[in-house]
Formats: sequence, structure tokens, C-alpha cells
Amino acid sequence: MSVSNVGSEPLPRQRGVGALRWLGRGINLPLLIGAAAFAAYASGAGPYDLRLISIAGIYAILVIGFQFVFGYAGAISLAQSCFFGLGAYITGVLGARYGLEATITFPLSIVGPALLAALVAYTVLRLEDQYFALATLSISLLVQLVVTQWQTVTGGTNGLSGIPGITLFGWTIASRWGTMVAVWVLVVVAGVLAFQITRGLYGRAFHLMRESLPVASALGLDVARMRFAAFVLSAGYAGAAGSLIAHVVHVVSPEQVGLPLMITCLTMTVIGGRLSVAGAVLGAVAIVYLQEQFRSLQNYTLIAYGGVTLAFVIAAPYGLIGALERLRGMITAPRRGAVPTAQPIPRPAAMTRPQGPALLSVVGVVKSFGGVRALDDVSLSLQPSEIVGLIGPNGSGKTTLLNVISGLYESDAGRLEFLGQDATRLPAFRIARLGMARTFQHIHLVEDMSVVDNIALGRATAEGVGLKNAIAAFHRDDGLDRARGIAISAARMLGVEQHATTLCGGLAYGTRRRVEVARAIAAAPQLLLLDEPAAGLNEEEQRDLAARIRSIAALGVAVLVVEHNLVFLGALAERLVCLDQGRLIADDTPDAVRSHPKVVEAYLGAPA
Amino acid sequence: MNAEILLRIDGLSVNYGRVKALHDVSLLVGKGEAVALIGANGAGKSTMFKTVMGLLKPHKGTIALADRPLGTASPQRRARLGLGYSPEGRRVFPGLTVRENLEVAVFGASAERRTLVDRAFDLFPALGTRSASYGWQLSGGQQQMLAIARALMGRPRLLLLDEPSLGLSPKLADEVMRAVRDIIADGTSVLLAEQNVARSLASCDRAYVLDVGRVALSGPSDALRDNEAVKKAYLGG
Amino acid sequence: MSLLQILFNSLALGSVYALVALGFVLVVNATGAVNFAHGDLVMAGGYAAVFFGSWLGLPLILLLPLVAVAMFILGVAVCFLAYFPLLKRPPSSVFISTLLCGIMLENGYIVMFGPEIKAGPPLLTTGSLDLPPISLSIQSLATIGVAGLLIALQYLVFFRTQLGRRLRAVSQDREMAQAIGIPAFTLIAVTFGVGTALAGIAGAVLSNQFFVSPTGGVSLSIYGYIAVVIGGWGSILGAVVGALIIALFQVGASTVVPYTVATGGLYVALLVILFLRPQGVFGERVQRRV
Repeated sequence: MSVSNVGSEPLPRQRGVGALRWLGRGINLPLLIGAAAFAAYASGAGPYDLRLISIAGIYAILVIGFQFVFGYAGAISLAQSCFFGLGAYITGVLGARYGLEATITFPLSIVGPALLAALVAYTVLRLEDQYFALATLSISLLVQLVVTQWQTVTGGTNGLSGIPGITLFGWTIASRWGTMVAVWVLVVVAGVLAFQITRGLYGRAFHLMRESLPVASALGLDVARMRFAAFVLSAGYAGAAGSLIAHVVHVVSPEQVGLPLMITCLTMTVIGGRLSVAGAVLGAVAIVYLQEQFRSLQNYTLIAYGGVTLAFVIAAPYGLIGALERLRGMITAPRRGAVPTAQPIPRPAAMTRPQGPALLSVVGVVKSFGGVRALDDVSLSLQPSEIVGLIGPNGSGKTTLLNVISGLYESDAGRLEFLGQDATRLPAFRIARLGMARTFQHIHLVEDMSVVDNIALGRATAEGVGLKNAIAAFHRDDGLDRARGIAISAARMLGVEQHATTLCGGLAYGTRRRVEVARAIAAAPQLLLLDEPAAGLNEEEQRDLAARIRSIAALGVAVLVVEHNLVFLGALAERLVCLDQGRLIADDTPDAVRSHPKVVEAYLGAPA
Repeated sequence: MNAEILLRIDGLSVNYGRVKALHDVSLLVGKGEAVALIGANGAGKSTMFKTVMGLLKPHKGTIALADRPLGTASPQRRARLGLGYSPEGRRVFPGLTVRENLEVAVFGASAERRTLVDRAFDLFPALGTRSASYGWQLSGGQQQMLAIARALMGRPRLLLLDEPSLGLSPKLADEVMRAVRDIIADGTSVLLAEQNVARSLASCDRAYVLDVGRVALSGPSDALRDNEAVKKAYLGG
Repeated sequence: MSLLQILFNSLALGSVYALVALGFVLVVNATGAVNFAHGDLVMAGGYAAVFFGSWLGLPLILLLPLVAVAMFILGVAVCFLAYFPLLKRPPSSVFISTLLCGIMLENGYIVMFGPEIKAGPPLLTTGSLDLPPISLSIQSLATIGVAGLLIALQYLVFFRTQLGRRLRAVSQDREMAQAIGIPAFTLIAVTFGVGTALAGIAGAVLSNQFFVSPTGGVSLSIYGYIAVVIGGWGSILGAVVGALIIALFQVGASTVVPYTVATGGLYVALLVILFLRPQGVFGERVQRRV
């Protein structure tokens, strides 16, 4: 299944041709037909049905918002219903008690929950999954308590009634039809906005973040800020939806804040699909209508409804949309997007800056884990264009050293200097932004994304990826286009250009390794750290990779390669550094190191 | 080599994710033998052990223990059939004490447990002094001793030792290998994976050299000891 | 209310919560996943008590073994329905699947027993022992007794028997446990069964004083969750301590402030703990995200 809203976008061409192509892509045509059928039905619906359609639209907005935090950021937030209820109460209280118009209450209903989310974000966002869920649940329960107790304002357990319809600049939308149209116009706005935010480089960055946090950080992505944005966005959307429900049902009550609604929201997301706007709409419409159709049977249906959703969780983790896409994928071959034109990889910015004594300087680094010294007073330095191999038997501290240099671990003692700056206490994403990129022992690529898009993620920080830019990127995401152009060049350097539009899930291991290295160099780093790049490659692939790494270094990039495979390094490294039990035992030319008595002993054991 | 074959591996091919970790590997361990698996990291030693233990599925080849093909037997079945396993990274149970780590691996009742645990403490006196410490409190060397002792609690016919001296100081590594030699002398067959060539050849009669998932060389320890090909496999050049 | 009375009532309520939390933490330990249907399973025990009580007319103390067996079977069923199919998925999937099981259970109760609140038979008899300044209700005394016995039994099994050692090994490293001959999946199902049996007994005990209702379990799931977080994720002792703290809060604080404020205070306290010390009282340091 291709990650929704992802797929190579056509190059700017005539509008007409572009539209036809859009129709032919993925499941867009069936969705359009479904939307048209729905619109036709809506135009002939009676007042009760109109109310239902409005509610479906409101839930759709709720779910679209939920997808930011649950689908994109990958966190179970149980506070979504409380933000919804908060939005409802803000509109309800201000509208019924103070007669304020929707022009005022609607924005406030968005800002209120968003502000609450921002306030609590600091407390909850750093927590692991199981704690995050409980924390958001507690917030939800607290809000529910406040709402039921603060009788004078909120009307207590009975809530408030008599909330007027949507009033804009003195004109009230009195008819149900008008309200429904207003709601669905907002659904379209919400959907377009969500699509806008997530379809470009920013949205893709979230996929990588879900795949692996360390890898995302090592590419310079500020994952904390990304999660924050997702959480606040979801709250704002929930608030908007809540405001609308107040206008549609004319009542606000504590039920709108409670756990049952949260479970409904989860259900709609699970059934519709976590990552697509169409899925949100589909899930909302499906659940609202199912609940309605079986209203008389209530409890039996709810058992069935729980069972069906459970079946979805087990069998269709990507929801209805995912299932539809899979079906489509079985009927027709997936359409390959157009290959972007290559743009040259920019020279690392700091190449023009005066250098300190060394590009990278590691001095006296110590790192212990539970009493064991993984790194014991290690020092080394690198110059531009140098290729240095880091070797040593298993458990000698090579990967630990790499993790300290790239900022994933903080050293207990010692100093780290990169490009003349003190990098000792910098977190991984900041060091990456200075000009460092790395690969990992276990390759983490986003399986459902194309090769070129995976590599393009290396440009995410350089393109200043973030919420503001994502919203502002109007018709096309220029950042994504630029990034893809550079990605092609990087792909060329690693010899994977012919796979540009292939999804990473289907690639052979050696190709995946090269894609990962291409992603690292797309970031135009000054220092490239490679962790066992030759593992799992056959001899020919190893020779090929070594040659490509040499050409990368020739551009001025310093390379530090951790490897076991000394044959591979022999063709590549000008210098070898050997670790044993966390201590540096040799730092010299390959020949000298290979015959160094301590190195021989470390690997082969003391002579009998 | 002893006439009776305890472990027979034939044409084993294993994919680890997308990597061809083992390719067409065949080897034998005779009853009462100690055999070494030598090779650089990534050569496939751990993959071999995990496959023999049933934690990984091969896509080709067979494994037979005492002429009984293991097929798709689960790991716990294989343990009960006589395989003892000390994995890479030791993996002692962190929340169980030393004594509990040993007891949990015994198949019989309390009398049997007592006998076997005492035997473990005879083999590793250092464990005896720390019998009430929790797994997470032990040092690397102590954990390694515990892992090996635990693997013996099931009275295995074949002991699979994956890099027992990994991350240990030379002194501790020697101590561990001394214990391994005692185990071998006791009659338990052993398949030992080691990065350190000299150490493994010192304890074992025969060895197989793995290189990128294939058997590159094999033979008696004496023949392999100063073999240039082995040196090349490690240090290149 | 005198301090002694508050303490006694807290202890009584706390012992029930401790049973709930204990069942909850057992499953967390064995699977690493949060069972959000746990509270609904407590209610199942309550309903079982109501059912067996009206069918056999015996005091609850004699019905408990029946309840335990029925709940054990239910727990194994939940394991096969909501956990085993999702082994390879992230824990959030199990969270959702158990949530859904909870919904099915809640609605099942309405279908089978109707939406009204029901009361189960008392453990021994109603009535109380009056020792001024406190009044010890017999039900509370019996509750404390049953809970104490079960917690002690739990402890004994877990820390003194081979079965208990095996259960702990499975929860700490399932693969390694298999490699030393332990039938891990069977034991996980057993853990679900035992955890649910404990939940069921808690529910049966609760059914007389606190009644049984279809949605009564939701807050209990939350309390179990909170107890485990406060006490320390994965710690059995921590779960019991956490449960007692919650009970103290509810009973103690609500003599001074309204019940809802006390509950609100509990949630605030939880958030503070999550912020300052997410590993809880007895837990190990959690790794903060990169």
C-alpha cells in the first residue's frame, strides 16, 4: 500500500492533462464517484438525515485532526474527545450565555483547545507510549470533571441548551440544509489544509519519525517539535469540530467530553484509515450511519460493532482506505510517477568557512554503561576528504563511539569539536544540522515510500521543513521538488537512479544500503559516518560501494567508516583506527595497523 | 572423530531479513566432540545458532539431532530434546536471582534442581558467592558464567555457546574457557562460536571457518592454527 | 470520621483496588501491553457473583472458586482474541483491541443482565463489628482477608514456585525462556487467565458494597492503570502500593473535600508524578526519548 497522499506528483504540465492523471491515480476515481453519490443523496435528504450528515461531517473533521497525532506522529492521544468537548463548551457557553457570534466563538473554540494542548505538551509529549496514553486520558478526565462541576458556567451534568445556529456578521444560518453545507465546506477546508500539511516533505518526515526516532534525529529533524505540532494541530481541529456540534445539536453536555466519544473517534480512525483525509471522511460517514441504522437494536449492534472493529484492527491495519488501495493494486499495476530532473548537490555550506585545526576532533571521550567502560579515553581527529576506518573486535566500542560523535549518546567525560564548534552536549539533531550525516547498522527506510522520496528526506532540514512552510507551500511543495532533484543526483552517485520511483519495500539488501548512504549524502554533510556499510554485501557490491565512497570523499567530505570487514576497508581507508575494550590501541596506515602486535592479538588472540 | 554423529547440518540456507546470512552450510558435530565455529562478525555464526535453536527459520536445508530431524520443532521442544543454548549477549533473566536463573531451566523436580544447581556452583564458584544477586546486578563475566551454567541445567546433549568471551577482559575470558574445557571433558558435546581464533582452537578438536555465510575452511585445530587463509579471512591484505 | 475509621475504610477499598491492579500488572508484565478491558473483566466477576449467587444462594465466600474458574476461562479467551493475533504489531494495537473487547463486554452485560445496577451476595454476612471509635463492617473485614490471602498466595506462587519463576522468565525475555524449554505462549495464556481470575474475584467482592453495572468497569481500568504507574511499571509490590494510595486518596481526601475534587486531585497528582518520576515509586529509570 502506498502511504496515502504520497506518490510522485506530476511535473507542472497542462492543467487538463494533470487532472486526468490525477483521476487515474490510486483510488481517486472511486472516491470521486463516492463523493458525487453522497452529494446527490444529501441534496434530497430530509431534516433528520441532514442533521446526521452534518454530524458525519463534524466527526470527519475530528478524525482528520486525530490523524495528525495518532496516524502521523504515531501516538495514542486519548485527549482528542476532551479537546472536542472543550471547543463545544466554548461555543456553547459564549453563544448561549453571552450571545456571541460564530465569527468570534469559532476561532476561540480552535484556539482554546490548542492552547491547552500547547500547555500540557511539555509534560506529556516526552513520555513513552503507555504513559502518554494515560496522561492524555487523565487530562481528559480532569476536563470532564471541571465541566460537570462548574455548574454556574457550564450547566453541570445537564449541560446547556438553546445554543443558536451558526451566526456570521448578524446573519444566522437557520435551515438545516444551510448548516450542513457550512459544515461540509469546513470539512473541505480542513481536508485541504491537512492534505497541504502532510503531502510534502514535512509529511514524509513524519513517516521517517515513526519508522525510527534516532534515524530521524540523525537527519536533523527536531522530532520533539514535530510531535508538538501534531498534538496542537489535532487539538485545534477537535475544537473546530466541537464548535460545530454545538451549532448543529444546539446542546452541549459532558458526554461530548467523555471516553465513549474517544472510543468512537478511535474506531472511525481505525476503520477509515490513519493517514488519509478520505479515510477520515469514510470512517466518519460509515460509523455515523451504522450507529443510526441499528439504533433500535442498540446493544447487540454495539457488540457486533466492537467485533467488526476488532477484526479491522487485526486484519486491516490500514483501514478501509488501505484495503481499497490494496485491491486497486491487485487490479492494475502501480503507476510509476515521473522521474524528477537532477539538481546538483550543493557544496557543504561551511566549505567556504575557515576551518579549525581539524574537521572533527574527539578528545579523551569516556562513556560508561552500568559500570562498564564502553569508551575509555578515546581521542581521534579527522580532516576534510579523509577516509578513516574504525575497526576493532566485537564489543570494542566502535558503534558507541559513532553514537557519541553523532550526538545520540552524551559522553561522560571528554570533548567533541565539530567544524570548530563545541559539540559535546549537542543533541543529535543539532549536530546533524551542523553538517554531519550517518548511516546505521540496521537500515531504516520508509518501506511504503519511493527511493527518491526516502533520499529526499536527507534534504528535509536544509529545506527548513516545518509546519509554517508546509501550510504556506501553496500549489506545489517547491521544497519537495528541490529535494527530489537533489535526491536524484545523490541516487546517481550511489548507482540507484534506476530505482528512483520504486517503493523501498521491494528492494534487495545491497540496494537498500546504497539508498541509505544516498540519503545521508543528500544532506550535503561535511562529515559522513558509516556504520558497517559492507555488512551483507557480496564482494562485487563491496567493491562498488568502496569506489562510490571514494568519489564522495573526493568532494571534500570526511568519512569515518566502522567496519569488521578489513578487506573492504583495505581498498578504501587511508588510515585505520583500532579500538579494543573501549581503548584506542592503534591509529596509523592500514599496513602498519594490520601488523601491529596489539591489533593482531585483539583479533586473533595471543600467540599460543 | 567419534563415529556417532550428534548434530548434522546439511545445506542450510538462512535469510536474515533480506541478507543471505547463511548459504548452503553443512557441518557435523560428533558425540563427545568440541567443534569451533570461527569467523568475523557478520560471518553467520549467531544466525547458525539461532537457526539450530529454532529461533530462525531456514529456507533450505536440514538439521538433525542424533539422527532425528528437527523440522519445525519449537525452541522449547528443541531445548527438551537436548540442546543447551548460551546466546550472544548472554541474556540472563534480569529480574531473577542467580539461583532462580539456574532453577528455572531445570526440567525435573526440587531434588533434581538442588543437585544441578550445586553442580553449577562447583563449576563456577564465583556464582555461588552471588547466588542471591539479581541478573541485572551481575558483571559481564558473571553473566556469562551464569548463561553457560543455565544452559547446562537442562542436561543437554549438545551445548551451543555463542561468543562466550565477548566483551570480557582476557583474564575473565580465560576463566570462562577453562570452565568450557571442563564441560567438554565431562562428555558434553559443544559447538562453540568465537571471534578469537587462538582461544577457540585451544579448546576444540575441530573447527569450521565461516566467511560471509559460507564455510570457507574446515579441519582439525592443529591444521588451522597457523593457517594463512584464516589470517587473511580476518585481517585481509 | 475518625482517622482510624478512614484508615480502615481505605484499607478495605484499597485491598479491592490492589486485586484489580495486581491482575492488571500481571498481564502488563507478561505481555508488555496494557489491557484496557481489565475493568470490564472486574465487572464480569461481579456479574458472575450475581449469577451464581441467585442460582445457588450461597454466601460469596463459597462461590469465589466458581467465579475464579469462570473468569480464568474468560481471560484465556481474551488472550486469544485480542492479544495473540496482534503479536507482531506495536503495543498500541493491543491497547485498541482490548478497548474494543471492553465495549463488547459492556454491551454483553446489558444484553444479558439489563442496564440496571445489581448487587451481589455479601462475602459472609452483612452487619458490622462495633469497636468504638470505629465500626468494622464484616464485609470490609472479609474483603481485607480475602485480598490479603490472595496477594500472599500470588506472592508465594510467583517467588517460591517453579511455575512462578517460569512466568517471570517469560515476562522478562520470552525468546530466551523458550530457548530453555519453557512453553512461553501457554504461560502467557495462563497469565491472562490468572490476571482475569484476580480481577473477577475483585469484582465479586466489590459487588455487594459497590454494586455491579455495565460501565462500572471503566473507572476501574483507569485506577488499575494509575496504580501501576504510581507504583512502578511492572512491579507487583508497586501495584499494590499504588492501589492503596488511590484508595487513601479517595477515602481520605473526600472527608475533607468533595468526592469529585478528590478524584480531580488524583488525576493532577498522577500528571505530576508522570512529569517528575514517570517510572513510579518502585520502577526503574525509563529511557527518555531521543
